[in-house]
Amino acid sequence: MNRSPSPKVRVTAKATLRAHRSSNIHCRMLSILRKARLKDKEMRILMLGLDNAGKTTIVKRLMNEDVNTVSPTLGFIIKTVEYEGYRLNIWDVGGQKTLRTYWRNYFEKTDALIWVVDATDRLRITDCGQELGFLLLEERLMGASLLVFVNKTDVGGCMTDDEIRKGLQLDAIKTHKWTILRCSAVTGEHLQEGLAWVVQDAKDRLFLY
Amino acid sequence: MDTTGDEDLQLQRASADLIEELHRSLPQFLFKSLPAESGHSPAASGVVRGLVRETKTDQLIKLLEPFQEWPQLLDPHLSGLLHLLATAFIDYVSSHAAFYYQEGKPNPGVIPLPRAISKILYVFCKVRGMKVISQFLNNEPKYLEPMLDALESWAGKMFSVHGDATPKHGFMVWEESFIMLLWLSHLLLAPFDLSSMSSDNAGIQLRDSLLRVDLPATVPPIAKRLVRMSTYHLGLPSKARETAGTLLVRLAVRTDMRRIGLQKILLDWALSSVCAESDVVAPTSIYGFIGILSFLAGFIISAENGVLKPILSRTYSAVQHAKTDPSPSSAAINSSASAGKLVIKIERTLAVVAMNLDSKSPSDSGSTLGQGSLEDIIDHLLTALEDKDTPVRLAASKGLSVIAVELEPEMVEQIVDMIDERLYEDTRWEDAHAVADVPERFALNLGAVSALRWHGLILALSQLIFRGSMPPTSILDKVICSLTIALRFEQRSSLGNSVGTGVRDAACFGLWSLARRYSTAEIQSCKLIRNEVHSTTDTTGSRPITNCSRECATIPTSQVPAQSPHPTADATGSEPSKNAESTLQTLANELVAAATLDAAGNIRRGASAALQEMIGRHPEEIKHGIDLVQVVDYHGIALRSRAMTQIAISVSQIEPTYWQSILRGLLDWRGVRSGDGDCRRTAARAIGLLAHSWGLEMVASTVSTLRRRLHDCLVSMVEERHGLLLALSEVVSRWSNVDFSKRSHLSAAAEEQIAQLWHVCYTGSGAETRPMGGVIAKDTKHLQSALTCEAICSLIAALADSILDAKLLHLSPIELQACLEALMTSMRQSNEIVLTASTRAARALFRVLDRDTQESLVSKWVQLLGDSNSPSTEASLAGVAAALGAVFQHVQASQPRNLIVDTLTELISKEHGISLRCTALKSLTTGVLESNVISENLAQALRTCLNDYTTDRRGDVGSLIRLEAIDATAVVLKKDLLSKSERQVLAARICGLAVEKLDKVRFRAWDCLQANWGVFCLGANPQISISDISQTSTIEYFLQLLSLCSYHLTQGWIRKPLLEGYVTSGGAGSESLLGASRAAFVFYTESSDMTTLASLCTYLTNLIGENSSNDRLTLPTLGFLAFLFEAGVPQRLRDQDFAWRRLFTEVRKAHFKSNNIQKIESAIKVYAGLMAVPRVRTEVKEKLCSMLLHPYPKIRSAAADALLIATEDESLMGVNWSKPQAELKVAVRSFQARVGLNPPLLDKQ
Repeated sequence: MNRSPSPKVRVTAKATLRAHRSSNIHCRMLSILRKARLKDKEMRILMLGLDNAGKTTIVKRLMNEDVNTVSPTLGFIIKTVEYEGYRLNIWDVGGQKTLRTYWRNYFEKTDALIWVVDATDRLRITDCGQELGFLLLEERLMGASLLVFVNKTDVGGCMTDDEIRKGLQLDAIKTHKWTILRCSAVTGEHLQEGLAWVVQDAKDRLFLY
Repeated sequence: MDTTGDEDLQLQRASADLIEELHRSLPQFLFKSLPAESGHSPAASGVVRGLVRETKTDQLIKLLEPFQEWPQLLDPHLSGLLHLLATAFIDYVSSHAAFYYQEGKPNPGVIPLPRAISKILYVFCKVRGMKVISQFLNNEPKYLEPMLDALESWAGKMFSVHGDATPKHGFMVWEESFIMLLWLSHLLLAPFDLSSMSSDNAGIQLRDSLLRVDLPATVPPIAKRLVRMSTYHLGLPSKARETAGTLLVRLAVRTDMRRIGLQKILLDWALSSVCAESDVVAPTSIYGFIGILSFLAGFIISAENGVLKPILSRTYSAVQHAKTDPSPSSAAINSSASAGKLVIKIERTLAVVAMNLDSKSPSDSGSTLGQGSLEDIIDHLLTALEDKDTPVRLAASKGLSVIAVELEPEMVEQIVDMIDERLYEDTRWEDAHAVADVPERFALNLGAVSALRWHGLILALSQLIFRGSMPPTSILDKVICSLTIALRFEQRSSLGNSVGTGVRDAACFGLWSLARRYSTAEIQSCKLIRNEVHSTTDTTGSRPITNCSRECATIPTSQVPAQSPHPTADATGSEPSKNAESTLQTLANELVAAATLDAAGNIRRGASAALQEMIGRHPEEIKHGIDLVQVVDYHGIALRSRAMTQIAISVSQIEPTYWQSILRGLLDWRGVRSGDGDCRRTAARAIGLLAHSWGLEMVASTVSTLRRRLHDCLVSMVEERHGLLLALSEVVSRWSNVDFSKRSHLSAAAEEQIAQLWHVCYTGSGAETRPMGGVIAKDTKHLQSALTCEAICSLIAALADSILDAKLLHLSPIELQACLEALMTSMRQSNEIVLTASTRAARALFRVLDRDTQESLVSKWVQLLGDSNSPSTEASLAGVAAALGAVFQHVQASQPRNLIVDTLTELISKEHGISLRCTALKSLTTGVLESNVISENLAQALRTCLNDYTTDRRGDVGSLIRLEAIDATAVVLKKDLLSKSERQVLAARICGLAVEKLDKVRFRAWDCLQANWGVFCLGANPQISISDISQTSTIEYFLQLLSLCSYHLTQGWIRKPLLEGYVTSGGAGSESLLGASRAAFVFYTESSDMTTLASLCTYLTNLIGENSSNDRLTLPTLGFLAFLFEAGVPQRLRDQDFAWRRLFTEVRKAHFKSNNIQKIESAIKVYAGLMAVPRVRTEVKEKLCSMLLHPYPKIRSAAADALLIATEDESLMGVNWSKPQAELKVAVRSFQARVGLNPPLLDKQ
């Protein structure tokens, strides 16, 4: 149903407009239009993956917090990251096997799914692919785009992109728009690029500026 | 009109302070014994408080509430603030929960911390939405049970309290339940089995739970308790019901709860409660019903399709049952907005889920809702679009659009057709020329439609566009057309105020979404034409218009010839658009008008947002789009008057098409047809500017358009006529400001048009003599209306001013006569605005009248003034008095000039009403004195006016005259109109006014003095200059004026009038004034020599003596004198050659036989002071002694006090002076004997 805006939106026009819009973001508008614009700037992002993949470390790195004191997430963590004027509410849910049955409780209105893979964990790559496969079948995640973060790439001897693609059978995914990014929560490499992709994708689909 | 000014800007500026204040005071509010350094996380170091002040809580809430208008400003700080609040709450629950409830004497003003936090958190929820706020609440599972324990025990206290025990800090309030239930629902997101988190605590049983089902033993205790708690709150009428529903839903959708069957139990319970016969087991209260509905709605929205599949049809029939149940309780439910909204939500979700399931397995028809139910739901939603309750309409419009996403385009088209049909049900297409000659062939009459219905229907269309469920086919034409009509929707309610803001708001939303959702090509292919196939519902029998294509009422046929660089306001021969504007351009035109002219600030902003989207997403389609966006600035349009007179004009200069759009808007209800007088005046000003904004060529055509509109204006349309006439006068007066040399050859047309306007006032009786277009004053009755008078006068003034060569070339005697008659009628209106207008008109007319007419008019007016003496007619004479002065400068002959001066002078000196005298005096000031004319009588009258202290029911109305007289004096002084000594007399009087007790008078008088300081021959300017009214209550101010008494040049003539004014400040002023003036006086006397002091005291004595019959001055003088004696000022003259005895005599005379206690008390204080003066001591003592037997007890004891201090005779102390006089005689005699006074003196008084 989504129709993309006309591709030939002029750069000049947009640049001039952006200055105006940024001052107009805080519009006080009656009821409906105002509400619609408020919601425009918020996204809900679900971050999942097997235990010890580094989800919480990624969030902490994004928040500029200390990444040396991370313990297994018992339950879930919600963090809000401001990115280019957008509020990204990241829901980071623990990956232990016992918790995975509860993942579905967090699917409500998800704009993007970030799947975090431990690039050093060759043993469980099949397991990882299986869990992802189950997730992608969930009808309530149908509208969400998928970002696969290949974490711990700063460690030597980790898996290559191709290995991951194959292990997760990414190329077989037809139901979701997806991308794969190598990153490192410890060095912070490519984390911002990941967020950029998520926001850009949402802009394309949801008509955000 | 400009209520929503720059509030946003103010909030934006203030927000930093508000947030800083929150950050600063919140930690101290929540925690005690905080270390001084703020770098530390406060929560880590402080001990949480148990009790807090309620007032402090309210203060914090007040800091938050402004953000409701602008929630985003709070976003960056949410995390920090909410973390503090949440930590404090958790701390309290873990350590202080047991102290929450204490018995004892109620201690209002102090509340337990959780109550304060909950109230604050609730405001956060209100501002930012509870979904956002709940994310910041602590979600560690270990708090689930303590939180629940606390909620149970606190809520349980409401039931378990027995006997006469009273809670010390009150019971739990709904905000607490609201927040705690919300928190619990957030904690329930924990991905662990509840059984693993549950202790065996069975909790407390609450009364009145809605759930009447026993839960199986497999359900963990904590889940049972949660169910109990939420179902209990579901039945309460408080807001906590909402979060209770959320909690129950969270619980029900949990994986583990489904596994053990709790989900099914809850669903069965809810469905059977909804279905149950209302009087058997169903909830007794409507709140319980709404609560259960909200649970159901929440559940089916959150649950997965697989779970819903088996219960779809059951839920559907339950809801249908609730909707159609004829029992009284259901009737109550159906009339409740919340219930209606929830039913719509449920139906919407059911429809969507059913469609999803059907599309997956089309064969399995058993699982769907059943035959025709989808149609029924859509039908219900369409009906609900017209509901009287806004929440229901909002829910219905959203629901329709959500369903439509799943529907086939053909079905959506059908829905839109239905909406379209309903929109135009009660409308009528009218021949546009019958209403006004706007360039449209037909106008849509929306007078009979319901604004609520239009709101719902337009909102539905907008939502369909927003969600992209509107197919871009031919129906989009119709929809855009309806949106543009809705953008201009306005109705007058029966009370005359404007309604329809909601409709326009919905239209803005729709157009905004349109720009975002559809491609340029899709929008451009739409034709804004309505094809009417059915005949109009015209019941009056005028010709039905069938089967004709008509342009959407809002869409003008363009009259701009392709090459013409100028727009044209002339719009008569409107051809069907050859070079019609593109759809996007037309929409932009509409939005421009709405963004600059709409009455509601929100609509102006909404329209400007939509305009931005249009231009940004469809570049190069809208003429000068970028310029447009820059001019229609979000902040620029905040103030309506600014939007209309500045932004709109700038927009009109960008392109002719916008010029026309603005003019059209200004001629409509947004401008001259508005119900608001100020708005019409602003619109008129805007039209005046607009006519000149595209060069002089447009003036003539604008005038002709306005004239035609005026011509068509019905007799009863007083407001529109007012607006149009004012607009004409604005155009004309701007025309006369145009430099003659710059007027081009085209100006002849404009001149011609303007000359024709003189006919406006023509009221000739014979139809045949009436010139074309000059038929506005069809009925003299028009002139009875103040609005028409104001407008006609403005026009006459503008027209007269436009005549350059001081001759009425174009005016025939009969036209002139009509003008004068109109002026005469207006002058007799007792309305402030009309008075201003008629005065202006009179002055302008006199400039171009010949000598004889002037003379005859003046004598006629003077006669009018002389004739009437009764107060009732006086009000109507104010206009005449004002006009007489106004025309003075243009009267050429001396005889009428003298007549004017004499008449007005007589007016101000005679016993007329205050307002007439004020008007006459003002008229003299601006007309006569400014023309350097003054007469002996006038000067005399002016002096009297400066001294006018008339009082009536309203109080000191004389102050109005004094103020006018000050202004007049200022002119006299400025223009050196009188001899020096006479001027000095006036200036001295002004000095008195500059120190009198009324702030307004003081300030105005000082202004006059400051501007004419030279009259004192003490240099050009005073030492301290004053620009603010509050500065006239300061010590420095009074000292400056008092110092005038010291200069040799001024002291002689200034002391007396100055003191006359001074005593009113120092004796009867307000608290601060009293303080300042008295202190200044004391300072002054301390620095002056004995002679000055003696003379000041002499003046004061004189004041008492001269005014003994006039309490206005005696009273404050005595009070002031009493103060001076208390301050020991006159005592300095004790041994000087001062007339002490005279002072004593005058004081005694002043209160002789008076029954004014205040006066006598002041006198006693003076006596007390005089006791220190040896020369009069004996007499004073005698006097005071006699007053010991005064009829008033209060006076007796005051006199005793005074004597006690002076004689230190302690026998006076033990006496009760409120006893009857007879009983006191003995005591008084003995006292007199002791102080050596003769008893016979006693009975004198």
